[in-house]
Amino acid sequence: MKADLPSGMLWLGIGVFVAYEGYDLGLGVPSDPGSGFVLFWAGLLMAGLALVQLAASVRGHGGGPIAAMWPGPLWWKPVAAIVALAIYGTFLLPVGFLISTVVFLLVLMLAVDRNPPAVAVTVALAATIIVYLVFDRWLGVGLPRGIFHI
Amino acid sequence: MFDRRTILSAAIGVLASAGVAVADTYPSKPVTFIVPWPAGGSSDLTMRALSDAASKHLGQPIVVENRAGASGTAGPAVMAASAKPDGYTIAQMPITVFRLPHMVKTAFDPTKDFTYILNVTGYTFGVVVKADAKWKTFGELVADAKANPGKISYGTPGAGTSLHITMEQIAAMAGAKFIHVPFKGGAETNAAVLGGHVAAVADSTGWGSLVDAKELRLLVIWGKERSKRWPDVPTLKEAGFDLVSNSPFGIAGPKGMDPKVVAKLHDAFKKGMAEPSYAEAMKKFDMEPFYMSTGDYDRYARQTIAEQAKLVQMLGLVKK
Amino acid sequence: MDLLHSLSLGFQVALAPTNLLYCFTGVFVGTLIGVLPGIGPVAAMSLLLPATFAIPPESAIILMAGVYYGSMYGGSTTAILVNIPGEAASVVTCLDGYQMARQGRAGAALGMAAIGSFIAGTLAVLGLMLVAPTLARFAIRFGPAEYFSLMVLGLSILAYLSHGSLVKALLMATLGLVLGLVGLDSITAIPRLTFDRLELVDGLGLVPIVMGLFGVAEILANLEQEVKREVFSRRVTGLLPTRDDWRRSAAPLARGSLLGFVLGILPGGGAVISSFLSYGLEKRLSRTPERFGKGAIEGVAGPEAANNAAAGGGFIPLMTLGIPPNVVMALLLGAFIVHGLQPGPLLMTQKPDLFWGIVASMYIGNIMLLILNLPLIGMWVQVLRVPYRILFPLILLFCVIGVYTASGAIFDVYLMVAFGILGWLMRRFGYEPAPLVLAFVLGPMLENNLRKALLLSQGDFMTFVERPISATCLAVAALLLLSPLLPSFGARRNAIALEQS
Repeated sequence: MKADLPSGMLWLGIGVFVAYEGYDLGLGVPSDPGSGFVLFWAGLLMAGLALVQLAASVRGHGGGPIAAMWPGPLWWKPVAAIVALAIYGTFLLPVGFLISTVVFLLVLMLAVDRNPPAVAVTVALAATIIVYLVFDRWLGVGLPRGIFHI
Repeated sequence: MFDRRTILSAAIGVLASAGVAVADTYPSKPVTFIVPWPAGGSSDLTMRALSDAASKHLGQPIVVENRAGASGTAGPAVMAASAKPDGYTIAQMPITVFRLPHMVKTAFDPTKDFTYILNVTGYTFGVVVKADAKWKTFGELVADAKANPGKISYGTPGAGTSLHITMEQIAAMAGAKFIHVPFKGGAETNAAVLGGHVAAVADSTGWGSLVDAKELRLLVIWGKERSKRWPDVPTLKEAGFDLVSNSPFGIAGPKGMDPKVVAKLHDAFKKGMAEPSYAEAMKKFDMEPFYMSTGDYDRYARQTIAEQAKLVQMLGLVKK
Repeated sequence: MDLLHSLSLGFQVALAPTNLLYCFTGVFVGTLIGVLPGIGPVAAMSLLLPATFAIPPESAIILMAGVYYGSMYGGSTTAILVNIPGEAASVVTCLDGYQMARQGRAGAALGMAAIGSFIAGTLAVLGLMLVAPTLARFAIRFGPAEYFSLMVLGLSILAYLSHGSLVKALLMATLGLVLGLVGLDSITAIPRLTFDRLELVDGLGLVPIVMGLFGVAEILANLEQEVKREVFSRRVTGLLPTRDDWRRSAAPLARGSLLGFVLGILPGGGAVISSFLSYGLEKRLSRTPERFGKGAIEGVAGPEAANNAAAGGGFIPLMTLGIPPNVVMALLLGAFIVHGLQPGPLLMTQKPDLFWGIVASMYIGNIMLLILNLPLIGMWVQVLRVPYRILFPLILLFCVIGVYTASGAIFDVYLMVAFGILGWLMRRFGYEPAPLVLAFVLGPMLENNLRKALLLSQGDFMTFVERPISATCLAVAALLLLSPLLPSFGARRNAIALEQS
C-alpha cells in the first residue's frame, strides 16, 4: 500500500463534503453567484484532484510505502508536547499566566526533554517574568490573571 | 448534611457576591469595543474618538477592535456568540443588526442577544458619481436607471445596509432598476467609483475630500436638512423622494449584563459625547450627536426591528 | 512643482530634532513589534494613536509610519531563526530563510533581509516622490474583474512554492481556499462551514494557522529526530552575506522592489501577494530552481524586498487619493483625520510641508533601521547557539502568547495546536504548507471579487478577458501554468518536479 492512498481518501471525502455544503448554501445564477458557488466548485476540484492521486497510488506511484510513515522510537515526544500545549491552553485562563507558564515550561524542559533541574527552573522563571514584563506591563496587552489575581 | 437546596443557595450566594464584587470593581481592565467596520472608515474614526473621550470618564482604556464584514453584523454577531456579559466587551450596533435577521439566517437574534446601552449618533449619507459623469442631478441618475433597467450600477458598503435598502426604496418609488454591488467599507467604494467600476456610490461621508477636490460629484444628501459642508447639494426630499435615511447607531453589550455595569458604561459614554474632542470628530465627518438613554434605546431597537421586518418584506428581500 | 525645492522643504521638517526623535522611536518600536510574534503593527499603532493627540500632526504621522515600516523590517527575524512567520508576508521568508539558518547561514539571511529591506524601502520612497499621483490613477483602474484575475495570477505561482507533486500542491491550495471561506459570507452574511460553532463565525485566523503549520509543526518534527536537529545549531558562519550572495541577489532585489512597489499600491493584500509572486518569479527565472526551498538566498532577497517596497507603495493611494489600501494605512488615515487633515488629492498642494516631511522622514527612517538592525544580527544569531532542549519550550511559549495576544481568544491557541498537528502529519505524507497559506489569504478575495465582477457584468464571464489589465494577468497566469508543457520550458519544470524523488 502506498502512503498517498489514505490521504487521497481523506481529501476525496472532504472534497465531496465541501461540494455538498456549497450546493446546500445555494449556487445562485451567473449574474448573481450565491454563497455556495465557489465552495461547490472548490469541493469538486478537490475531489477530482483526490481521484487523480488515488489513481496514481493504486497504479503504484505516489508516495513511499505506507510502512515508512510509521513513527520512529521517539514518537512520544511530539505527542507529549501536543498534550502539554493542550493542557496549557486549558489552564491559561483559569489559573493565570504566571503559574501556568512556569509549570508548562518546566514540564517541557524536564519531562519532554532532559535538562538539569537548576537550568530548567532558572529558564522557566526568567522567561515567564520577561514575557510578563514585556507583554503585560510594557505593551499593555493584558495576559490572563486567573483565579489568584496575579 | 447538605441537601440540594443548601448547596444551591450557597452556590447562588457565591455567584451573587461575585456579581456584586464584579460590578463594584468594574472596570478593572481595558474594555474591548468592537467596531464592525474596517479601520479608517468614518464610522471607525468617530467611534475611536468617542472611545477615547469616554475612556477618560470610565477610568480604563477602551480599545477599539475592528471586526468588519457581513454588512456590519459580523462584529455584534461575534460578541453575541462569544463574549461574556461582564462589560469588558461592547460593540457598536449598526442598523443592519436589526434588519439582516429578517433577510438571511443569522447567528444572532437582536431581540434577545444584546443588552442595549445607549444611542450616540447618526450618519450623513449621500450619493456620489465621478466628477466627469453625465449625471448632473440625482433625478437624472434615477431617470437613466429607469430608461436602462439593469444597466446602472451602484456600490454600497454591504448588502442590507441602510444605503442598499434606501437605494432600493428609491428605485421602487421611481420604477427604476439598478445593479447593486456590495463592497467592504468606504475605502473600497471610493476606489470603485473613482475607477469607473460602478456608476455611483451610496455611502457615508468617506468621499468628503474627493468631493472637495472635484474628483467626485455629490448628487444628493439623505439627511433631513442640507449639510453645512456642502450647502449647494439638495436633500432627497428636495430631489423628489420623500425619504430621510441616517441610520442612527448605538452601543450594546452581550445579553444579561449587570444593570450597574450598564449604568457605568452609559454614563461614561454620555459624558464622552460631551467632550470637545468628540464634537470636533463629529464635525469632521459631518455627523450629528443623537443621544438616547438606555431605556429609550432599548425601546427604539425593538420598534426598529419590527419596522425593518415590514420594509424588508415590502422590498422582496425577505429570507426564503 | 519643483521636486528639489519640495524635497528640501521636506527634509527641513524631517530633520527637526523632535521629528528625528519621533522617527527613531517609531522605527525602534516597530522593530520590536516585528520581532515579537503575534502582536502586529495594527495593534501597536492602535495603542499608540491616543498618545499622539498632544503632538503636532507631522510628528504623529512620522511616528506611526515609522512603526509600520519598522515592523516590516523585524518581521523576517523569527521566520529565519525559528520558522515562525509573524505575518503572512513572512511565510515566504520561512521557505529559504529557515533552511539557510539550518545550514549555519542565519547571519547571511538576516543580513540580506535587512539590507534588502533597506534598498527596497529606499527605492519605494523614491518612487513615492516621483510617480505617486500617476500610479495612484493606475491603481484605481483595478475593479473586481482585475482583482479576480490578479488573484488567479497569484495562485498560479503555487506550483513554484513546493518541490513535491503538483497534485498535492493543488490539493493544499484548494484546502486553503475552503478554509479561507469559513465564516460569514462577506456579501450575503450567511454563515458558511461554521458547523454552528460560534467561534467559527468570524472565520479562521491567519496567525494561528501560519504559526501552527510552520512554527509548531517544525518543533514537533524536530522533537522526533533528536539526533539530526543538533546539526544546525553548531556552526554559524559569517554574519553578513558574501560576495557570491550579492551577485545572486542583486537582480532579485531589484525585481522584488519593483513588484512590491506596484502591487503595494493596490488596495487589499499587496504585501502578501507581492512576496509570493516575487518568490515564484525568482524560482522561475533561476538557472538552478532546485536550490529553492533548500536555502537559496534569492528566495530571501526577492520576497523581503517585495514586502518592504509594498509597505512604501501603500502610502501612495492614501496620500494622493485618501484611499487606504490596507488596514495599517486605514489606521494612518484615522491618524490624519484625528489631527484635522484630510488626505486626498489636495493634501500635496495644501500642505506640502507635511506631505514632503513624511516622505523625507521615511528616507531617514530607513537609514535608521539599517543602523539599528545590522548590529542586532550578531545578537539574533546567538539565539541559535542556545541548546534546542531549552530553545524549543521557549519557541512554543512565544507561539502560544503570540497567538493569544493577537486575538485574545484561547480558541485560537487550540486552533494553532490543531494546525501544528496537521502540519506535522502533512510533512510525513509529503504535503507542503505554503500553497495552503497562499490560497487561504487570496481565496476570500478571489471569491468576493469573482462574485462582484459577475454582478457587474450580469453573468458574462467575458468580462475577465475583455478588460486589458485583467486579460494580461490571466495571460501571465496561463503562461506560468502551461510553461511546463511547452518543449522549451519542459526541462526546467521537470527539474522542479523530479526533485522530490
